[in-house]
Amino acid sequence: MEKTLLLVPLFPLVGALLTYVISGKDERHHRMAGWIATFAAVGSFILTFQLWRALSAVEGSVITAHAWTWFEVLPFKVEFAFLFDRLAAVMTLIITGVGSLIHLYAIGYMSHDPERPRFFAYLNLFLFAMLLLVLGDNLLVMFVGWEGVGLCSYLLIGFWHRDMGNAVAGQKAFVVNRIGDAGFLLGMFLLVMMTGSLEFQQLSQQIPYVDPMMIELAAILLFIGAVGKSAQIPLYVWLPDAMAGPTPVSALIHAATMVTAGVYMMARMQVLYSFAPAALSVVLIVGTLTAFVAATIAIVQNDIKKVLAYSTVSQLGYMFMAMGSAAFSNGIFHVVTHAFFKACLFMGAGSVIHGCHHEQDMRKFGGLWRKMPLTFVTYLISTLAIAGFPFTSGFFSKDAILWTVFNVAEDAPAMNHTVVVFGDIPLNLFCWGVGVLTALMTAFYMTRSLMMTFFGKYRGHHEPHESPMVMTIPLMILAALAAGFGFVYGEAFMEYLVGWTRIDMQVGHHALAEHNEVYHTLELFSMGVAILGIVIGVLCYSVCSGIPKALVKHAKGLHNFLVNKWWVDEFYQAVLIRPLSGFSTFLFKSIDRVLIDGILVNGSGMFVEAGGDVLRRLQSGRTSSYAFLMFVSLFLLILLYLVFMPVPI
Amino acid sequence: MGAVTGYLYLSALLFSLGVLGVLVGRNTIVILMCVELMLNAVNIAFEALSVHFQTLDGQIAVFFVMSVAAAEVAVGLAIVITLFRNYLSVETHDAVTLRG
Repeated sequence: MEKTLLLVPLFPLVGALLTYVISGKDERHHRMAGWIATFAAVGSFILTFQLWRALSAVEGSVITAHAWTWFEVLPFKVEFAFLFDRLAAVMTLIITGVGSLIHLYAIGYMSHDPERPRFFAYLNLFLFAMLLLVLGDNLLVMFVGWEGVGLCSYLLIGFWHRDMGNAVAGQKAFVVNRIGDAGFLLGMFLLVMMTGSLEFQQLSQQIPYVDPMMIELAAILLFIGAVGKSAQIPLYVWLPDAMAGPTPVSALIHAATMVTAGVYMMARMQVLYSFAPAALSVVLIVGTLTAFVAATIAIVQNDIKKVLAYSTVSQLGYMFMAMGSAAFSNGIFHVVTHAFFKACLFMGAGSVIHGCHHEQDMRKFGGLWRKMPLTFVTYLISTLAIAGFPFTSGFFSKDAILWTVFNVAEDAPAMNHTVVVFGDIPLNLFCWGVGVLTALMTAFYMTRSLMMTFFGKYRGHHEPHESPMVMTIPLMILAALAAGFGFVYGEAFMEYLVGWTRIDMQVGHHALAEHNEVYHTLELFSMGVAILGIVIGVLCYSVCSGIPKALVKHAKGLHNFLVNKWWVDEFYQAVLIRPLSGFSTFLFKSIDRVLIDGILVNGSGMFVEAGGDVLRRLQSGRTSSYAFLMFVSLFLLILLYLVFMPVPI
Repeated sequence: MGAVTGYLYLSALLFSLGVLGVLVGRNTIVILMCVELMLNAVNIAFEALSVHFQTLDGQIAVFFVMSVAAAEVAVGLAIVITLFRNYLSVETHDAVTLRG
């Protein structure tokens, strides 16, 4: 099994190399690229599946694989090793499984692109990096993957780099992620300093003995890394812009896998976080705010991919709410269901975009359900799932999160968790309220996008057509999972993670038994919220289409505020980017141009040249003058020796 | 003033003459001859001191110097010939290609 585990990330790496090699060849080879990449992903999935079977066969087992010792500065040692436990199994199955489907879909979506091999090479390279991230046995291997996925994200956002906007979006993603990565690095340094190790198992053993303040600090620093990668406030601004990339990329990287890396990291470091109650409160607040802010922006977006991008940010906020309540397995559950329905939504949107000849504006869609029935049905199912319609997968995972947030105060003593009080309301109740409100908005804006795209009259110019089977088959599989996963496997999934998580599930179950009535009331309540949101959305965009228009007219200020995304980009531009670029220009003009280029570089050159000009006159080329110098020097040397002679003769 | 001192003065005088010749000489053959003069001046000093200290060291050194001098002349004359082939002259101020 150890060899199999090593092969899992190797498959996409080899796939990436192969597809890159054929990128210079002719069209016939280009057609192969997609299939090679897909087979690499599927191969990886099959291996993962086998590993998962082997893992499940023995209770409480983990599979580890040791590739080589990376470096050793005794007593600090870093192994290049992989760890396959239940958490890694879940993530790896999602990455390779959903990844395979998206690769398959991309064959259809990218069929007209002349640079397909490069695209598939990047996509496979991304899978490799993502697998390193989730399979790494220590924080450093995880960090290699962490940076690798960032790089691939950058390359793929700017895949159509001939358009300046795409290249800029890629750079923005890269730079914003770097800010988070700095936090991640500092967190790692702190952990090495405090515990002398980066290995997850050793860290778990050491952390209880470390100074609590340091634990809090390390937890916050690592969370900053997660904030960057998983697009939370204040670093979420790159994700909506990242939609400049091809749609399969948005589905794979910016919805299903990479952006959940921060959630995974927190789940992996759950021991650290369960000893850091203040950091958890910060996580809870950040997650809640992000979920809310992103949802408000999503309501007024007209670009179908932007709606989905903001809803991704919002759903990631939910995941961090779960993490902030120390309900690590709930968060991972939402990662899984979100991967299904959001990948499906993105690919549905991609199918629409593909079918409408690269139109992304929802105002130019409409009535597409007749033209693209398969895309419509899958999009409908996923919309219901993300809205939390009863008994879809999104309903189960979102409900579980809201329940733990609601309950965190009760469980606080058991988890050593501080309850922050917000006025008269405990923080968690406040967050719960915001979470429910966000759920309502989610149901509304997703229904809005569904109605605008698939119902009413077609408002575009080109004749839309249904996408080929290679694109619709992945959609159908994902839609089936989005619909049924929670209902069929939800319980089993949570039970499966019980063996892995340390605290949260015990607490959750305990609470569940005691508050059964409250739980069912809340469940009914959130069902009602989801259905209410959907109904409002349907009404607003079919029968009473005057309501949104009237709202826009009467609340112009608010509408403007939301359309401009809370002015956050402008705020960053004014407060951070402009001073920074001004300072850089100053440095460039005065320090770099004048001091370094002028005085140091050119100055030293000029000095040497002038000095040489003087000294070259010594080289007269006359033998006698050389001889004269030689004798004079010798004479002087002897004279010196006589003057400073140590022992007089 | 003993006998040895006189030889030493002679040696110093011949050496200085040789140095002067090397410095002011323009013809490479003359320079070579002056170098020979310097070597032989040293030889005289060796001989004189060998007599003065009643040892054979100086005499042995003289043999070394003579054989080195023979080698030096062989190399020196070869250089002079090459010089002449390239510049059609053996004057030092004609061979100034290395001037900076």
